[in-house]
Amino acid sequence: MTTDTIKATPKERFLVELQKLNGAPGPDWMKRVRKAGEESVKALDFPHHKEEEWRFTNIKPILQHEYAPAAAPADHGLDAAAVEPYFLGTGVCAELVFVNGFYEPALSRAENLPQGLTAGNLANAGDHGATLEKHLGQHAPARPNMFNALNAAFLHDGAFIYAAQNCVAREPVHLIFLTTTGENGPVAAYPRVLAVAEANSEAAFIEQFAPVGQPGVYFNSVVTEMAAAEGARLTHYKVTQEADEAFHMATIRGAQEKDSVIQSFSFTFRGRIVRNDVSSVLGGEGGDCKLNGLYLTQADQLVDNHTFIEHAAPHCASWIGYKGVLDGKSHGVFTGKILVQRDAQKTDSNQLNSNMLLTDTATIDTKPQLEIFADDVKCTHGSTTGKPPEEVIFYFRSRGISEEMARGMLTYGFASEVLEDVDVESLRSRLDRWIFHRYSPKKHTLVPEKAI
Amino acid sequence: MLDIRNLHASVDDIEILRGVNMKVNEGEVHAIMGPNGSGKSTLAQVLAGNEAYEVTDGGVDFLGQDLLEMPAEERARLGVFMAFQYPTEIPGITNAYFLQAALNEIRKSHGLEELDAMEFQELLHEKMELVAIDPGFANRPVNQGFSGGEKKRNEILQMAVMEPKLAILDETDSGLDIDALRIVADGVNKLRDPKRATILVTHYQRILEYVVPDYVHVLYQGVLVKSGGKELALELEKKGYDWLKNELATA
Ligand SMILES: Nc1ncnc2c1ncn2[C@@H]1O[C@H](COP(=O)(O)OP(=O)(O)OP(=O)(O)O)[C@@H](O)[C@H]1O
Ligand SMILES: [Mg+2]
Repeated sequence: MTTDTIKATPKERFLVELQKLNGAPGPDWMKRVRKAGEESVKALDFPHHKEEEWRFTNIKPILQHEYAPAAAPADHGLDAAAVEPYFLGTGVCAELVFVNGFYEPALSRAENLPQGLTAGNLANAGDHGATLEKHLGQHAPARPNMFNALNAAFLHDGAFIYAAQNCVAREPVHLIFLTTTGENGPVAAYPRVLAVAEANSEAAFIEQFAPVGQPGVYFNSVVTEMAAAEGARLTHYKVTQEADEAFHMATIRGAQEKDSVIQSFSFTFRGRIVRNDVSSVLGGEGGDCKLNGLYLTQADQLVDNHTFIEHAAPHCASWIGYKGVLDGKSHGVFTGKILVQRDAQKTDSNQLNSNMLLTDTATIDTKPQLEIFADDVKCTHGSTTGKPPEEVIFYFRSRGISEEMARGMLTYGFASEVLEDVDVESLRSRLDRWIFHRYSPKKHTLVPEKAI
Repeated sequence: MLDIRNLHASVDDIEILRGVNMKVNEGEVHAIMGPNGSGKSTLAQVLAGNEAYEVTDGGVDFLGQDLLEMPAEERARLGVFMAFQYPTEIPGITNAYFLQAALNEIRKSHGLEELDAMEFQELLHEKMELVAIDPGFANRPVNQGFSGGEKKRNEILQMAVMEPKLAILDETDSGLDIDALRIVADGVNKLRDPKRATILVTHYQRILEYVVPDYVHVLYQGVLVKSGGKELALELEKKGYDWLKNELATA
């Protein structure tokens, strides 16, 4: 016996949830973004694997579930001791905790912000009305990506980071996004991040995603917008360590003016299906964009990193470097898309995607996608996929190290190379320990894995 | 210590070693010379346990055990060390991490405590000083971007850390500058004691001036065709291999 008479489509289910939120409180600027989001949800469809950009990524498993949107701060019962393991402690200027997308001031630390840096939650960022107006929803608009539309439509809270002109804030703001695996069915959370670096300023932030509570399904739909004004430098780190059953769809979008630098690192370690759409537009001369990433997959995970850099101005440089280690029956997808507009002469763009397959059942689909409309450019791309050569394994064995241990060490070495450019020592060493722990057969010599 | 009997080995069904017989006792240094392609590296690789080479006949005993039955890592733990003619580059793994793992595996197999990072660091620096390698090499990926000579020195560093019972040095003296040659020779001499032995594969008589061998053998077409004392190396240097080939042809 079932009370379900007509089976609603996934989109209808999301729209029903949206109706329930109608008239939810919020400042005008937030309502505007929501409205644009809702209209887009109505107008758009979920991406289909027949679309080129979604060719290898089947999102059906995500849409099989019914999600209750996180509409208000959860009654999670978390205390300081429960979130402590996620804190980095040193090398960061603030640690802000969000549960299901909502800011938790009582669990956060933001006492030592450098002069000129604002770091807090979006819902309370009303003082920065002009900045919100100028940037929020402008760089990652609600269309044409359905997931961006959902994030906008369900906008409630998120993080706001603002570096005033000439402000130099080298230590990153650590954003900890925890999601509950709800007792009353799966939750959908819609965290939003806006980071703005005004002219000649410098700022950095870490987005970290992790579950709290029992293992289970949930859905995180995240949108991060980064704006770097002239001469500004923004560094972004993303650590995705969701529950093994959870889904995570993220858009990270940069907008760069003249002589600005954006560097983004994306570390994907856990989650059933994870997609990162990481992109930036080099809109002024002399800009520099670096997108680095590492994905470590296992079991039946699907991790899709879709990177895209648009060169819209001359004399800009870009780099995309992603590495993957794929275990079990997992599936990796990588796209490195470069668009060089007609006026973007002297573009210097390079990309490399390297993968290590640990089993015969793990797969990777990797593809560069270059669209070049200028004639005086240098664009390179490359990809490698393989296993360590036998002669390398033999070298280890000839020194007394077993094959199993050699493979673990090599995998660790391959993966941890991505950490070389991570300047935040507390983050670097934690990631290093985590990677080491996953691949080293010598676990007993290590500190037990901490939550990261 | 080492007893090689009628050893035959092939690669891709091509027979390369065609019946090698050789005995090495504790405390001895043996030099193996011979023209390019005669099978010297093949012999070294087979002794170290490289499965790319198939042993088709014969046997090898090491310290009373059947060496050929053992996987490479066990041979290393038992004290066999081969310095590669062409050391492999290992991206992403630092020399220190690699050597600590290697030494600890060996220590574990002998029932010894593993060295922790601090203890190992100390030992490594001591050994680096001994073989005159810049401490900076500890944190570089194994052999990656090393010059030819640096790779050879690095092999000697590994040997110094692992303190093998039997060291097989495959042309470790090739491509070394004069100082490095002395260091390698010193390294070998320092390990020279009544309990250890060394097999030096070389093309040059020069290193044999520093490390005076007890025996010199000539490997030719997969067989040891001539053995003698250290004077044999000098004779070969003077006369070349043609002399030997002719002698063999007439014999
Ligand atoms: N992996 C391999 N595949 C095919 N042929 C091989 C392989 N290894 C060795 N050989 C062949 O076996 C023969 C002996 O090679 P080996 O490397 O043992 O010679 P060597 O005496 O060490 O020579 P050199 O003095 O040049 O180092 C050569 O003809 C070589 O081409
Ligand atoms: Mg050789």
